[in-house]
Amino acid sequence: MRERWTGVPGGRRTGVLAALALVGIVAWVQLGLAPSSLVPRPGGVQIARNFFAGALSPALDYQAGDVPAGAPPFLLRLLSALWSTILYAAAAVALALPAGLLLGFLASSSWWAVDPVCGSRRRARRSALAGTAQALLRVFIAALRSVHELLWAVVFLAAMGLSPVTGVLALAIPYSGTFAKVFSEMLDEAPTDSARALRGVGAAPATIFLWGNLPRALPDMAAYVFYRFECAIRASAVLGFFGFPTIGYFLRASFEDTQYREVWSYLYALLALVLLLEVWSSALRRRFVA
Amino acid sequence: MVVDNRGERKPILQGVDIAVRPGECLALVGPSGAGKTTLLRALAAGQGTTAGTIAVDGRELDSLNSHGLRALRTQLGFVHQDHCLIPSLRVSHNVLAGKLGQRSLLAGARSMVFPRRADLEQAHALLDDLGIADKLFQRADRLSGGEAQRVALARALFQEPRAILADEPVAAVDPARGRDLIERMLELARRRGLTLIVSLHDVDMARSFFPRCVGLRAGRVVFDRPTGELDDADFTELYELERGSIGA
Repeated sequence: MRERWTGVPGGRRTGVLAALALVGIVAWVQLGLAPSSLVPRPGGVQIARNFFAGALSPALDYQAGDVPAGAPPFLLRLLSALWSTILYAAAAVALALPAGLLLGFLASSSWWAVDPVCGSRRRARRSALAGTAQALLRVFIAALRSVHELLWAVVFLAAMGLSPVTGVLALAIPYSGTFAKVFSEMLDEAPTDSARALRGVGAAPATIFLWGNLPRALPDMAAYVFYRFECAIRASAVLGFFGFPTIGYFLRASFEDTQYREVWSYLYALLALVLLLEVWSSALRRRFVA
Repeated sequence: MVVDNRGERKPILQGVDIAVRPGECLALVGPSGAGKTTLLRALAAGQGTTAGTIAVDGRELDSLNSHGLRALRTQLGFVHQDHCLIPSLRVSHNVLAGKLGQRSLLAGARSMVFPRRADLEQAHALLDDLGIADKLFQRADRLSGGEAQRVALARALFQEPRAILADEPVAAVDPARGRDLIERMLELARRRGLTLIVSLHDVDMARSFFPRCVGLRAGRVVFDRPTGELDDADFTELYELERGSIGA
């Protein structure tokens, strides 16, 4: 029998797009954003000009003449600041990664996958249990993520004072949550055919997960770890604003002394580091994917 | 047996009643959407049924707990139409994965990461039987469709099952290679005394190689007879298009 033509399906997508546009417009109006705010205050033009002039001639030595005795050469200071920026980021990721993996596995639906053939009553009971556990875990993971690393830093600084542990923990806590959320989504979005094949050979659920689900998501997960490491480098740099000895500490000091050429040296060093990471991660990704 | 397709009111299979003896080789034929894949999956304990029973060795699947189901599945090798290999791993890993159901989590991981020489030799011999011994250490995602199909078959054979269920195992290869592969499968099945159930698009192949054919159409068995008792009319009727429809 021929089905009756019922016309083009309703304009739901149009509605969603219109709603999104409306939210954007309301936000602009509410905040009173206007291009006129971009015109700088008197004197600001000069500061901006000085600042951007520094971009063309980043400092290779201290910009000011009066360097305190015993201060290391500028480039050495820059490199050591860069190094401690990397250390903070690496320590935080090293802590967040195992935690994120564990939480991500447990929060993924593929971890709790139920055998499609087992008796239906048993299936229903187990699904309810799995659903509850998963929901609780997801709330916990959201809680980890809901506070930004810089807010954690402020809280820990007040509670424990300035120490490397404080800075590393401040980064590691929200990063664990982000890893967990993204890993669990990657695991659940990866193709399930390998897992189906392993279920077919009689493998136990943990084996199916390890050799069926995980390898399908692993290339994406590895690439994401690199991306998060890059984010951790930036966050670690900003931790310097709170007094940690990362690049942000020196960047802020130079900025406050209006030594803009030094500021640009620090910024270029960060850029170089991020680019280096990008090259490394894309080389690795190529090996993974092809 | 009835298998329900979630979301659709019409069951995929209905009134299917077939019995397969140990060591028997049979072909499953029928138009696209007839339910061949679903039937094979259900027989291999890979898909639940909403009504009816499936029994292997006289034991009903519904009566098994998850442990029993897994033990049963180790006895049933399945060759998926889309191969279902682990693409980022080597062929050797993929073949060795056939025994993951017979090993604990740790022993299985060890067998994958540090494979035993005997396992590798056995995998190599199987691939050699299938004509792709040189692919043992190649990554699975660099295989051609036909090679991947053979690796999937090698995985099922490495599992050392008592029956192999193969879903369109020659769909990805040209007719000559397809015939060759089917002949090898039948030869291996006879040598090892395996039960073999193969779904095929190619009716001629089913008729010339398999002693028994089951014709499936719209979820029902149209015929189930020794191939010698079937004639052209049976197959013409099986594939005849319904008036006003395009295929299934």
